[in-house]
Amino acid sequence: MNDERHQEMLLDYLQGNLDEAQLQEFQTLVESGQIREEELQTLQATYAAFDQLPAPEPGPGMEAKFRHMLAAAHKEQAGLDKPQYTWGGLWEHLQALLSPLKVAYTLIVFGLGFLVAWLAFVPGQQQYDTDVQVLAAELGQVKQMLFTTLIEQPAAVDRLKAVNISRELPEADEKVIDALFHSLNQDPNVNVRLAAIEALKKHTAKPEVREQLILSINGQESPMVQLALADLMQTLQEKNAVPQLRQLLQDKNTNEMVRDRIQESINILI
Amino acid sequence: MELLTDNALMLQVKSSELDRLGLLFKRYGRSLYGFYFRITRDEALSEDLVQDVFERVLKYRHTYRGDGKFITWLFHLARNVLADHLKKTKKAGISTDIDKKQDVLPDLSVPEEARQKEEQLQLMEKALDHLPLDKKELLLLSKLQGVKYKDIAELHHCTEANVKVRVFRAVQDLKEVFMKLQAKSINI
Repeated sequence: MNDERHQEMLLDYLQGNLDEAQLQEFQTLVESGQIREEELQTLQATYAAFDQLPAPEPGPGMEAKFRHMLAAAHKEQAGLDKPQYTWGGLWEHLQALLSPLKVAYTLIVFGLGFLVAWLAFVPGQQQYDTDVQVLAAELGQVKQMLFTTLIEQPAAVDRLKAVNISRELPEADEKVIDALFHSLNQDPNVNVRLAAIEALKKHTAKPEVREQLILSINGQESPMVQLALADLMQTLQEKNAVPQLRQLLQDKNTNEMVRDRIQESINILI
Repeated sequence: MELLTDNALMLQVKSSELDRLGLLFKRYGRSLYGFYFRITRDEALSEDLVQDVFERVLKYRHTYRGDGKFITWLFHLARNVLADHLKKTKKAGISTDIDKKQDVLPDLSVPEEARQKEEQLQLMEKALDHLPLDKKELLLLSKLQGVKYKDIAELHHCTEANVKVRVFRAVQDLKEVFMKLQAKSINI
């Protein structure tokens, strides 16, 4: 019985786990007295009593406790399932966003959003008008500054640009008009003088402008400028210019063609 | 519908389907309770220990690999829970003397044969309580349905043959105590 193999076999016998061959071997061991029959019977009785022990039954509270614990675990899990924001996660998202395609997509979406927001929350018309006025005034100031800078440039092209810019100024102040007359009377380039005449046409509603234009007639040597001024006087129906025109007519240096034209203008004005 | 295996259920619990633990509780809650009750002889404590085991199942579910038997893993946790409990009570100086439990008086209203059987069962319970904890635990594990010697061997980190020998020796000790108790009860 001290033999471990016999002990294993005895246990299997008690539990009914022996197959036929093993059972025969076991019987031989019992018959030969290697396993004592008396001890076998007491072991069998003990094991049977042990095997018949009923399973202890828990109270109903055990399952209730378990359900309560499970519900708590559920709640805890729901809390853990919420997204966790970490710096690492933020960096990963940024890296994903930094691909050129996604940047372009983001900008388009952002631009569309901005447009929608602009359309939805466009400021009142009054505010809009005020803003436009402010912008227009600022633009005017810029142009005036540009004009005063360009008109003093040595290159005729720049001065020509300045004169043209003056035509875009909504309200030319005295400085601009003086600068234009300076160009008309002093500028060495005929084209600049002609452009100055064109620019001054816009301001002929002012008597002082017309007066200075008339005075300018005798100071001109270029037939082109003389003709332009004569035409302007004719258009403005400026009878006060007739003495100046006559003086030009009497000047020997005046071009023949110009004389004819001036005569024609004088005839119309008179 | 085919019943899901313990392994399949536990893997579902692992993948956050916590409700599946309810089925495993139904399958093994009673066994665990019986295991603990026969060791502690305390109903409330046994229920608490079962609760502890399932709490650990949830806590350590991520460590479950599913390559072994679920019941082996479960009883591995159960034995740890028991060891922790015994350590705690020993530290706190709480007596777990099972002999102080009162013997239940025989109910004279039941027939003689049934009464004798009942007395035998009570003697067996008492005999079990006289065994050292390791032998008692071994016997209780071997009695559990679904637990094979191979599983116990895995729990005890030894061979199957070794487990069988140890269980047989525990049965032998149980027999000695049982016989003594029987003789004592006849003499009374």
